[in-house]
Amino acid sequence: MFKPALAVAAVLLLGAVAWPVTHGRARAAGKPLVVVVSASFAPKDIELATLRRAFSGHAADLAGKRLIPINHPNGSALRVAFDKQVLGLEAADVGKFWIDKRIRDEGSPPKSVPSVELAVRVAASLPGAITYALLEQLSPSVKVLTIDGKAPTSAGYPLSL
Amino acid sequence: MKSLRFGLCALLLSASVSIAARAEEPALSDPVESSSEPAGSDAQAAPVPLTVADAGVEAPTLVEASIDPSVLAAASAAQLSPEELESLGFGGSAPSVDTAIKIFGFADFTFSMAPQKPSNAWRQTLQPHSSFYVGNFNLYLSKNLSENVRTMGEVRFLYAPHGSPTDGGPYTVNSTQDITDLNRRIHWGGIAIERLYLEWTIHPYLAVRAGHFLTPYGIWNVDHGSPLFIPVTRPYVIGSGLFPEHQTGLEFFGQYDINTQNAFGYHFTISNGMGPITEVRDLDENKGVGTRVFWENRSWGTLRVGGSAFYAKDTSSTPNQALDAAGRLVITSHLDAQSKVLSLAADVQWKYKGLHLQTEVITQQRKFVRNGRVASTNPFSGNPIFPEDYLTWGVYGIAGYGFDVWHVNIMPYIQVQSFDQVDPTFIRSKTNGVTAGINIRPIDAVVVKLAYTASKWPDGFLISDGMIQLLQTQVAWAF
Repeated sequence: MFKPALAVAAVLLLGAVAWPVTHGRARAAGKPLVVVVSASFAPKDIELATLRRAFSGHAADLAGKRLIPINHPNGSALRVAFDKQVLGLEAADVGKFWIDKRIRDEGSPPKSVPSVELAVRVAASLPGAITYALLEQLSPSVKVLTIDGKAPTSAGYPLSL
Repeated sequence: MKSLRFGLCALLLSASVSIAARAEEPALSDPVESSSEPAGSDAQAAPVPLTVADAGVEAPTLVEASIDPSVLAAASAAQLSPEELESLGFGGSAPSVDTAIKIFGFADFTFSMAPQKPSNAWRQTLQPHSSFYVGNFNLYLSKNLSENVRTMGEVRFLYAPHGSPTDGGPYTVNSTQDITDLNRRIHWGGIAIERLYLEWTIHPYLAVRAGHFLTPYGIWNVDHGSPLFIPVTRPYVIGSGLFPEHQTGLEFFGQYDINTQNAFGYHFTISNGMGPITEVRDLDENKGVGTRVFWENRSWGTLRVGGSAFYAKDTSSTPNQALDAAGRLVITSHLDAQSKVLSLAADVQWKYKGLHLQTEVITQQRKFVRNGRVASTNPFSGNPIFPEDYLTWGVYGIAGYGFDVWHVNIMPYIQVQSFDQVDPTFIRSKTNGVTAGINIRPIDAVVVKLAYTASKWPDGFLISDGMIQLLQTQVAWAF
């Protein structure tokens, strides 16, 4: 009697797990939001799941190096877009999200710096530091990572402003 | 004169471009020393648009044409000095680690009243008079000791045992004379160590905690703090301790992201198990073991489904010292009670936009060992009660919907619960309850709660005078 219900539940569970990674993440019209690290840092690509881990308070490694996420000020346009597309958080939910995490002791928020330019400079200066910016905000000391193999100029790139 | 005017114009032009280029510079001063990249070399090349032709391979170049050399120098010196990094918290022997001591916590203040008639037995038992009280004042201290090692401690400051009820007697009044204040009387309370552990991240998917930690089961115990709870008080099944609230031992845990939408998490614990003093002593050789696994999906909001288990021997014993026939000290242990305990739980939480749904069902099976089935005394009849093996269970569910009004988040909610319990004198009873409330969050760190709770013992109880009713308002805040 319960077998059909179990079968339906199993299908739903498998469907949820196998849901396309890009579901809900089709790149909207807008400038690509690029992820940058130091130009001397070896990796060229990062998985979106790893990026999410790093910016949600979990330990995340890339090429054997612990990532140091550098955030922008809460409420800034790039921060709002990044939180929504990587963490799934609306701007109004970010504060409570981190308060809840701290009370549970499930991780601390990434360090925030006052400007995009400073974030890029930190990324350029600190091995393992990772941040995000627009293409025109970069310097020669950083390089852009592809995300899940997709370059900022290619279709399906998941982050945009 | 013409050359002087030309020079002044060039100076003014370069100054204005410099000011424009520096408009977004941070508060830190630019490094005086030049970077490893030569400042002037790029100025000789033809202008190149700022772009990424092949992302991840070539670093972008700057637009050089018509830019003042000083601006180019600043842009080329794109790295921070060690002093600047240190001022941002990335300094010292471990620049990648923020080693500052973090201090934070939470607290709450509550007003509680029972709306029944003053003569109501439940009101007389639980809340004879409306009262204000401070419930939690919890302080967290944490520090990263290295990239992979950190420590965290949480203490709760209490008024208790001051104000605690005694069995059939007056409230405890902890009062003493303060010799530093003309011997005037002062009330004093206590400190409870909620958590203290050293945490080592062995691998991004595996970490271990050694010390005193919250039992990782379900939702409510992990949430832990009043600013996170939706209702004012814990559901009966949570407050009854079917799982121990804390453990002293080791906790292994981690979370693995299957893909961007799904994650799998786990906890495994080994500890002193259950007993009256498990914070500091295990009264048997049987260590308690526990586990929790959960799956999280982020396709529509956040859905988390989990299961928890805990097994231990619950031992209570009293040491005895005596002299044997030869006059030597013999220490024995008198077993007061011992039982094998298996606790199981399942939980589901779904947050989708403003919707918040959560439920936990928890069971506990207790089987007394032969020598551990020790009688207790019925406090009302004075007769001995030999405990029976039992299964107890409880469930609660919360449904709420949060929405913003003038940037203030408001969440009306309802909670229903049922608890089939066995009290410490092994008297069985069942209670059902419903709570309706509204939470208002004017800022992220503060929540104001208003809640009405009604609970009933459907099978009758020692006190039979209608329902338990409580009207409570609480402000809880994190800092």
